[in-house]
Amino acid sequence: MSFDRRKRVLLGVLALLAPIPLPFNEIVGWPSILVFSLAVALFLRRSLVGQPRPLPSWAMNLLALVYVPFMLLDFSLFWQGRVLRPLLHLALFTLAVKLFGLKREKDKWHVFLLTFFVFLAAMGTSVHPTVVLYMLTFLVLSLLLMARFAAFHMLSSQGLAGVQTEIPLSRFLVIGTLLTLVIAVPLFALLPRLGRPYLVGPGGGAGGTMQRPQFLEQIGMDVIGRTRSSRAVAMRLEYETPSPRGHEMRFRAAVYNEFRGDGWARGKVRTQRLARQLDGFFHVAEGQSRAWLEIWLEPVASVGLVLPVEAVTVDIATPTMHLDDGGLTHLQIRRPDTVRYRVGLSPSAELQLSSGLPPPLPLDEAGRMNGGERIAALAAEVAGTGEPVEMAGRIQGFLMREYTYSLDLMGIRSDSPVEDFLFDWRRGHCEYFASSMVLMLRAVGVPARLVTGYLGGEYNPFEDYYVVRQSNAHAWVEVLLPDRGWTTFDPTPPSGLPVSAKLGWSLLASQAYDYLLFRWDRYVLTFGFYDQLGIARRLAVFWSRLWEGGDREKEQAPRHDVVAAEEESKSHRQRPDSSWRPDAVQMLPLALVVVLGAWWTWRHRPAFTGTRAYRQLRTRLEKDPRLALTSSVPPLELAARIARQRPVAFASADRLIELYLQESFGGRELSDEERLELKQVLREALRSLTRREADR
Amino acid sequence: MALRKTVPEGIRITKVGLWFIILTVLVAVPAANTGNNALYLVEATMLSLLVVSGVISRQNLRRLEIEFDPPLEVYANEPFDIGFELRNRGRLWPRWLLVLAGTEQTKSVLVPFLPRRSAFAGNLELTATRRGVLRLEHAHLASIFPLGLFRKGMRYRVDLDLLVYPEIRSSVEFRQRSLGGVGEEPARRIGVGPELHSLRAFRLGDDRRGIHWKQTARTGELVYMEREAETGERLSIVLDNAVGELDSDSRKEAFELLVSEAATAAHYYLERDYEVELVTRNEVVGFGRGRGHRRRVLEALALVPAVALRPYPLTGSDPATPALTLDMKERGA
Repeated sequence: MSFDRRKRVLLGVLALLAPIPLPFNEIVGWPSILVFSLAVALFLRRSLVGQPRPLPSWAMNLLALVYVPFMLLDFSLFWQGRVLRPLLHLALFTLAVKLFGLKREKDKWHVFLLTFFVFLAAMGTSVHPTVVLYMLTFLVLSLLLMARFAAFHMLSSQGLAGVQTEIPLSRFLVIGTLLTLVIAVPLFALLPRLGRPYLVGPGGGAGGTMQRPQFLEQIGMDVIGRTRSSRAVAMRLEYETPSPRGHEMRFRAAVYNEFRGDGWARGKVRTQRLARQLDGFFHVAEGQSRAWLEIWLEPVASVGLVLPVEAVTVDIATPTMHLDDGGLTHLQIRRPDTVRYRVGLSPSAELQLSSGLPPPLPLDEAGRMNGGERIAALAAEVAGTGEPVEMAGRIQGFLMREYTYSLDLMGIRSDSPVEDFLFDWRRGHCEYFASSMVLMLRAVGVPARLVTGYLGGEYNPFEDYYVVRQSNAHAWVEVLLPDRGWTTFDPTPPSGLPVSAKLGWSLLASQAYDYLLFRWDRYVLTFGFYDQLGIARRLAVFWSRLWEGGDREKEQAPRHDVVAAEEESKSHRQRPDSSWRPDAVQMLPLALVVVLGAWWTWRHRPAFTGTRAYRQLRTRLEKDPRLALTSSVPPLELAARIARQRPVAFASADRLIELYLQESFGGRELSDEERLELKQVLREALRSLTRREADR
Repeated sequence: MALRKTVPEGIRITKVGLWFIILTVLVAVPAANTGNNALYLVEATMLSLLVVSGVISRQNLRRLEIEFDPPLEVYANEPFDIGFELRNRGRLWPRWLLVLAGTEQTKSVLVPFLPRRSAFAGNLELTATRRGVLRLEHAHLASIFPLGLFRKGMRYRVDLDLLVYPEIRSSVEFRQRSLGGVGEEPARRIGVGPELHSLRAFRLGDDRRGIHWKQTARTGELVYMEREAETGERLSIVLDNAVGELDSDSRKEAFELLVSEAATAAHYYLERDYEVELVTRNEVVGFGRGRGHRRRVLEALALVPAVALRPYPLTGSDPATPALTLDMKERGA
């Protein structure tokens, strides 16, 4: 294949590859990509078959004219705030036309630039780790293309443009790619990150669309049920210290006060601005933090921060926070990417009210009767009389015993879903159970509210953290008890509680994948200024350790001595029996590299030559004083000495020397059979010499 | 004359490299503004490519050996091919797109690919602009490998000295000049040749093949043929290089022209098997013929300097031999 044709094919392949992530990121639609890909495929076919004639200028101009109305329509979207889509459509169209109009060397560079622009748009809007593979492929192909451009430039400057010259580039590609990646990693970490954008524009995040949060101001009766069908990660947790006793990994995402017949609403909520206390944290409840938990919250969850029910303090890099009387915290600005924060937990499993907040609003008559008379009657019958905690316990037990958990009611429309659940269906998902308990408690005069969030999580052995998925979404009840404040009750039967998948290879695979996603999220997508500060701090600690020993280390230890506590607590954490599987999976890539390296080395091992065999024989014989070998003794003289002093080994040694001389001076390489014979005679000669010495 | 020290010639940025740097800066702007880490990835990769390109281009020019095989005769203003062998001493890494030149101004040779531990043989075309010692101190190697972003050069020390003979003018041009029949008379000496010089009585020791049988039959006595020397022509080329100081370009040019004429004359007559002698103020190359003598004459002419004026004229060693005298006075210089 000529140089020129090779470059065309490479350009075509790059153009085909560049826009692949765009439809996945919902930047450009699939039809546009399909049309573009077909055009490029046609170009590739023409290039592979022969030297295609380029489109004449008038044809290119005509195509541009035809595209103008589409472009105007597209750009009308510009005013709706969607900038990238029309620009990319224009770029893809121009790229396709330019490919067919390739004539001069300059045109090829134009195509490369356009392809690069599309690649940049695809990278900038991707959040998935597979974008690394995409970037790697683009890198390798670009290296190949640029090297070919350079070669063609050199050949044409010497007047050899038409000459077909084979220039192997595989070694350069491998080493060049590896070197590029090795240097790019520290550069990525060190490139300066600004605190805020310095140009007009919101900026922020790694692109991609934000998923619809599940815990909004208002929800229907199916929201939690639908949420649980997804295995997407909602958040990741890492316990810095042993979790408090009774901690069941229950996280509050939203609190609903108003029942509206077919759903819940947050209702009137009072908020209070929180300020950092002297210890530097935001206090969301009374109590002292005895345990610490680090949370990475995906941008899918809630209106506010998702906090454990035992949360008392929050450590987050934000200037202000607000707390509502539902106990939910809100950030001033919600960024569409992972939020990271630390939460202090109290030893008690009950939520405490912060002393600064006003008491909850009393329920009015409408609220009390919201559930209807039938529900009120049932509530009175089940709850009986007594303390609110006893009444709540009875209602909870009743619902757990008498009703069945089921997701079959998803999508069923009803005017009074809770009544239907309690009296007709007698089965449903957690929202029905929780809603029923709230309405029944209110009917008997006990303040209660619906809480949605997450329950449970699965341990990921690769990274020693817990993953909470959307499938862990759950709804429960909080009851206001006179002496204990808002207390958690969960009327959902145990069979309906979110459970982690059973340990097995498929779970391990999904955890390995999640580990990858977590690492990607943690160290690439959300890598920022504070991470760079962290690296600098660690380097400073390392440096001071190097020079001054351990004293400085103690001075610079984190506030809560988390590191030391973490070391101590590792043995205390509750971990499922993960066995050897995670370690095996982690060792797999390394084992693969070792095996591949060994195979490559074996494939490229130097051939066994007569010279090598002769050298081995000489090395062995030099130790024999009777032969008196010096470096000047030629091969035939050596054979003669062996015949005199070591007649047992003479036959094999003589044949070895003959093969050596044949290879070195005979003008031809040894055949495969001769090499085998060479190995054999060498072995025999060495064995004879060894045996002779043993006999002596 | 193999590898000695290498001297880096620095890096020049190409047009492609300039565009690449501009693009890198352009990518940095939205990356920094948006804080988009995917764009930072691209930016880091582009910066890394710049570094890798520099490292690989430097490595591409290292561990090479150049050996030259100069031609026997080199003339001024006449392109000549100098053979070279370029060897790659690297154990792991081949070399790509190497451009070899004798000097930066001369034609270059491209070596597209040089596998590891292998050699490439070729010819480099050079032209010496003046006679004398041409010192090739360095051979220039350059490459734009790997990505064409930078042109990296390296000078390999060669220390090759070539003796450049004076320019040989066209023989037609030379014949047209009047030499007054210089050297065209035969020497008329007895020797070996096809022409008969004289007849005499056969003497003991004479070659029996030289007997003139016809004359012997006529006279009844053995008659021996004495032949005339085949190359009886002789010429002294007298180059008066006592021209004083060459204080202007025109005088320098005139002197070089003079030397060139002497060389052309020597070349012309030696080719016609004349016995030629070269006489200058510094040196006398005695009569001789053949290739070896030609080289001696041309070597002397290659190195003949201009010396101070002398009052006495310069003549050939044999007054009987015709002489071609070349001096600046004749030319009014």
